[in-house]
Amino acid sequence: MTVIYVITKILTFPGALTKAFFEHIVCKVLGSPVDSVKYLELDETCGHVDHELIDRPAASFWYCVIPGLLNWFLGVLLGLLPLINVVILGNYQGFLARLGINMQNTTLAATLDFLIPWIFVWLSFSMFCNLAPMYEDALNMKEQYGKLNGFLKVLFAPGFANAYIGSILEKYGVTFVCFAVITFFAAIVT
Amino acid sequence: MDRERLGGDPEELLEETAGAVEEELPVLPDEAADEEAPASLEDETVERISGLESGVVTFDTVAEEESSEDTAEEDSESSELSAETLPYDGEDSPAEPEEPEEPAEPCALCGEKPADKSFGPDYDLCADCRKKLIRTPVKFSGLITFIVMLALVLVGGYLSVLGQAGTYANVADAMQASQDKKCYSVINSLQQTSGMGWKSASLLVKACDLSGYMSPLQDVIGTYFYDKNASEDVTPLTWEDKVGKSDLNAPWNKEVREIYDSYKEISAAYEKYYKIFSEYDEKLYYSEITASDVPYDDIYAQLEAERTKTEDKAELSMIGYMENYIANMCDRSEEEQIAALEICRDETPEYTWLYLNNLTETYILAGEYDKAEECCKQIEERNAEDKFDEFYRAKIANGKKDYDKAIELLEGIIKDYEDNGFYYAFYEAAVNYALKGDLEKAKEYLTRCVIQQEDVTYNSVNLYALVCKELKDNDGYKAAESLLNQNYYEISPTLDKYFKGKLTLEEIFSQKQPFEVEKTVTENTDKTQEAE
Repeated sequence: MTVIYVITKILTFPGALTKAFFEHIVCKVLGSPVDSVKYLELDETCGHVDHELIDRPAASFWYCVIPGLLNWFLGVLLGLLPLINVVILGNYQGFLARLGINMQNTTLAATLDFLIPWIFVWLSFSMFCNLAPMYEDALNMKEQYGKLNGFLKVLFAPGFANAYIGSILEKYGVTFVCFAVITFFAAIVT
Repeated sequence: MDRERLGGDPEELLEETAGAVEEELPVLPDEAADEEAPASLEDETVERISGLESGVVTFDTVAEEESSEDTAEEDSESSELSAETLPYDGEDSPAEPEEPEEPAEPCALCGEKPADKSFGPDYDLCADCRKKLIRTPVKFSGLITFIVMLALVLVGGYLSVLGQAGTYANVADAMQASQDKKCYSVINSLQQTSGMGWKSASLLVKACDLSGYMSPLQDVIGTYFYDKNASEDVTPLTWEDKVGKSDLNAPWNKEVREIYDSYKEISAAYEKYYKIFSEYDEKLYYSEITASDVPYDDIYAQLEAERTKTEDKAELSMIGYMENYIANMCDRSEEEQIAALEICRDETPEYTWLYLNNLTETYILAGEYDKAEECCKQIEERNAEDKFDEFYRAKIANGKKDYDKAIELLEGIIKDYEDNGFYYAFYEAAVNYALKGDLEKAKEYLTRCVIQQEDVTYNSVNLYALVCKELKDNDGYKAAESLLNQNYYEISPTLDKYFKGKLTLEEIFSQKQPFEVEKTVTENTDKTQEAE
């Protein structure tokens, strides 16, 4: 399964890199030592940073949730262009002209105009495929979650469930497949 | 003695060693021989036993002897063992060793400083190494990816929002108007919009179809759609067309395709059948002939002959439309006109833009108000902004001599004139006010038609002249006369008949053409018309 996992990470490397980057930043903020800073290691840590497990309940929760949340925001912002232009308007024209780029080769310009929204689709897709924490971190979060009091458990439950289930799905490349299917059908319909 | 044994549990070692001594002791040689004998396992054991008997045995000796043969690493292990001193009380079994104080575990990373156990008993890093790991700088690849993504977010944001604010505003208005079935608003919003994309363009196409305003259709289709199955006489498709436009044959463009196909079929059918009588139509338009000069029966027979040749619904529908056209042109009865339009409706009920308004008006002229009212409902459902439903209802009310209701409906249209631009309402309101006897109000609306030129027609100018003469407004009358003369017309003889008392207003407006047409026929006019 690691092979599938690594392949999904390589195919969505912009999202994997930013996710690992955000994890690293969060590690710094939470004061968790980082063992390995290879963001695209070809093993189960691909797209994550290998770090010391956090034994504080809230900190382990934030570590699992915040990088994914930041990636989600990036995915949404990157997805705005294709969402508005392709899904709502159905427009594939005039992007380069709007950026002040006037190309002599109109065929090349039209092709690039066509590709621009689809590049943004891929970038957005890569962000959405890298939302969940590493499975080990999710397990640690689960262990730490048990130490929370009742109120905090309820408060953190949606984020916890999201991150935990997401990590399991991401481990087997299911999130990749899901988002790929959604994107494919969105592309067909639009 | 081997290293493993030395490295084993000291207590076990002691027991083993004691056993060996008991076996060996009876056969020990004398002391001299003993001194000369080379060091053997037995000798070592004896030596250690003697040490044991003296009360204390250490492994120092053994370790030192072995040290020359062992590696430096093994030395360190031995030295660890040598640090442990095993007391012996001189009896059968050795006493339990004292628990020594555990030395601080060194850092797993630097190996120099002790591990910081404040983070847990198993923690293996020193405080400095921990800080160092926390401060590990982020990878350049991650940082640069993040920066690139942020830059792309800004570019995408500019392309999506800031650079297209006007487009979104217009498209949003059009979408809202489309939901409210306000076809004219959809068309107005989208016709001003550039770079709106094929989806918005399909909204525009549907609005054109519903409203019957088909003029922008060809341009819209050409700009936002391509047809790979188009015949060869069409300009060949470029790669730009294929990547920048939407395929008309795609399943999601089915509705647009159908509307466009219908439009093309109807246009082709129009060209085909209009040829049959276009000559007469043009001559009639330039008053070169009168309606009675048009060979209605021949044209009708030709159209009927064409009907037998085709089964295409669009063509059959257009034949019905043309029959209505010539019937209207030749002043044939309303029944004939209605029959022709009903053929048109039956063949292509979806082309409401082709027949519905004509049919409603003809029903009104024929006095079939119930059918006309049904048509009004259809017009209302088709396009909420279409004022023809209210206009025709006003005409129905007029036909029923309910002038107040007609005026109320028409005033409703006129109130929103700035938005709807429905100028027909002025003349119709003036007619109803005139029939009601309120000539001042009639003149007010006719002024909008004639003087402000909202709806200058032969009828409106003649009615204005009539009202002005009734109200003793000679200037108004002269202005109307002048306007007609400029367009090579004279004041209608109907006015003369009215002022001589031969006709009443009700009689005038019960006619399909209220004011009898009188053209100025001069040599100059003919030449001007020819030039035109």
